[in-house]
Amino acid sequence: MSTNFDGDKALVAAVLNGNRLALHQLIDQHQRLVTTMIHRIIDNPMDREELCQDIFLKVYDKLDEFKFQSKLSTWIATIAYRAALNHLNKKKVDFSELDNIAYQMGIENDKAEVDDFTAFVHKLIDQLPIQYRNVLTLYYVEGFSYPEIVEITNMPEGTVKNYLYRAKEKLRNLTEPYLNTELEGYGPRK
Amino acid sequence: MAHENKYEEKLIEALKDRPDIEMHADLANNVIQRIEVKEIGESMVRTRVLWFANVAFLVAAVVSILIFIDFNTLFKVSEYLPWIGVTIATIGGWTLVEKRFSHHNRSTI
Repeated sequence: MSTNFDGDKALVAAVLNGNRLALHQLIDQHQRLVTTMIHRIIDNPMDREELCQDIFLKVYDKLDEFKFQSKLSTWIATIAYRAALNHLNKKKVDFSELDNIAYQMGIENDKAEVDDFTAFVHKLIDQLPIQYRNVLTLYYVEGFSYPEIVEITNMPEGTVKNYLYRAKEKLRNLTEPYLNTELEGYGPRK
Repeated sequence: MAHENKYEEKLIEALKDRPDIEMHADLANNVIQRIEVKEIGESMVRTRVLWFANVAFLVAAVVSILIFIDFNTLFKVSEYLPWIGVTIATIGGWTLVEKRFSHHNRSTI
């Protein structure tokens, strides 16, 4: 499919004019962002796909309300985040606190998993409470700035920074012993 | 300190690495399909509402004219003014309903 709408404004204008190719492009451009966010929040794969579709339907319905006060991706991420939280609220999912989470991964028993450090870290992230997972994903994977994450999550900037710091510390504590072996030459951490 | 930095670097590198998530095949087509089904449904509702509004206003207009003619034979011209008002309001109302249900259609390609 050859579509070429340069910039958010041209793309949004084309979608609002009923251009299906533009809508296709808009969805394709933001599919990875929405899918990654939903994947971090929702566990059930069937729910994920339906929710992704619902999010883009909502984006289409509300597109005429988008006033370019933020980036299109930030606005779509906001819709995705709220839709995912509403979904969890409907399912009555418990938002556990970070310190109460029991990390049950068989780290010692699964050497292969630890060998692939990135996969190991992402598996650990999936065990963090939802709000921590989200902040980590939005900041590191999607590259959103603090003000953008504030807009998406509606959390104060201090809370966002705190979640990010605590999540990273938790990951550091969990992964550091396994990384020491990889970082040979620097010696074990005392 | 070097260890700290090296560790930090390694962790952030892992965090920034996009998790291997399978994308839903045909997401865009599925969404567009759902939008089209929704718009067809809305269009059908709109057509029905317009049809009923047309019939209702036509009936109201006919009744108004009949009352107007009847009153014309019974009363003086000054008495006809309210019925002229009713007729104008009927036509105006019909126009408004049609406008309300005819706009905001993005389904054309």
